[in-house]
Amino acid sequence: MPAAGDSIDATTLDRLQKMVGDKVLREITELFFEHTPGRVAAVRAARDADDLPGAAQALHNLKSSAGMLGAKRLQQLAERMEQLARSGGDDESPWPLVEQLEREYEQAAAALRRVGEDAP
Amino acid sequence: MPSVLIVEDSPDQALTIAAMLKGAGFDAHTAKDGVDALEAIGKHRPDVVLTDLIMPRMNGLELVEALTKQYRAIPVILMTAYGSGEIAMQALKAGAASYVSKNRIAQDILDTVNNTLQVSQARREQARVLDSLRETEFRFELDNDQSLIYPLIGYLKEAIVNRVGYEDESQLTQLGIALHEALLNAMHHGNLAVSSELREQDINLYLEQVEQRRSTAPFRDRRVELRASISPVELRCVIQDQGEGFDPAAVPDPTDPANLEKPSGRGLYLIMTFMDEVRHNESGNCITMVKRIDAAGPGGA
Repeated sequence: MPAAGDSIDATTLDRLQKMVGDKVLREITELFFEHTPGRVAAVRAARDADDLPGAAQALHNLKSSAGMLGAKRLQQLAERMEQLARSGGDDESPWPLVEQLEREYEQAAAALRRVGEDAP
Repeated sequence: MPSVLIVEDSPDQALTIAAMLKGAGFDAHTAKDGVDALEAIGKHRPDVVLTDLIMPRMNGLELVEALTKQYRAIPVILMTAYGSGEIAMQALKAGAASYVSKNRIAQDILDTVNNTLQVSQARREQARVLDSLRETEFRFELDNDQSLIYPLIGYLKEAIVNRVGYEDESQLTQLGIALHEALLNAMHHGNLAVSSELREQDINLYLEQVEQRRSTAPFRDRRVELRASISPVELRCVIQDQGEGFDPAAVPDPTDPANLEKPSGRGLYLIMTFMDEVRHNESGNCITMVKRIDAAGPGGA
């Protein structure tokens, strides 16, 4: 089982590794590193422009990509923010959560890097 | 090796899903949206399409609608997530075969794809079995009740669609109209012996006489027998009444344009136009009608 920090769900990552193998898992992780910062930045830009639909779109993709790699906390936060963005931010705005989203991404990325280094 | 086309705008998710499927022995390809997918399918037909719902250019619902029109045989599996529930419902109504939640994709994807392929394969296998089906026969004995005719036609149309996979709606409608005319002739002119001349003269009197004779001996005891046989090449209907018959040779030529406007010739004209073969027995109380089933449709090879 890949060693993962608490921001990563080891069961999900382990299952994925068994399905696709180490080499492809590394490729998937690299693509995640390549695309996710842009999505996080898009959420920040949406906040600056008060663009809820734009944020919902970026969060929708971010959430699923994180979920596939077992980045559970990032996935859950993105989904919560997507819900808030889609409901129009009336009861609660997703914007105060943007910094937390950035931190969660950094932690998930660090944990995934550690897994990559530990892998054969 | 079954082939799967994955339609997903997120490159890392597309690679993940493709890798999961390749690892399980599938031939997996990716397209980044619905427009790309249609282009890819035009070049290489996959066994199943797995699509995201929220995508730029052409979304999952639009893709399902396009595939349902152009490639009915390719099953579509939706990949759902929070935020795409509404569009997923619409896509399922529009013809998608199944769905898998992105939250559980690693756990569920292989089962969902395999299950969908097996169901789709079973339908194709059924088509092979239907090739071996030689004939299905039905025999109905009808009271002289006109209201039975439409439901009976509906039943036969469904049987043709289900048993031989013939789905040309316009041809099926024409077939239904021919059957309707023939059954009505057998009930009204055959069993109840109400003349078509009376119909031409006074439709109300005609209908009155029909109603009256339906409860009067000997007319009320007469039955119409319909024997229908459906095979992959033809539908054959034999409609026999228990009336005194008529001289088919004495009927004005229904294909003569001069007779087209006569209400009494109309039924036979429609029957002769829509059916490929029509003949009466000598005593004129039995009509045999044959419609050849041409998979290529009207005017086809």
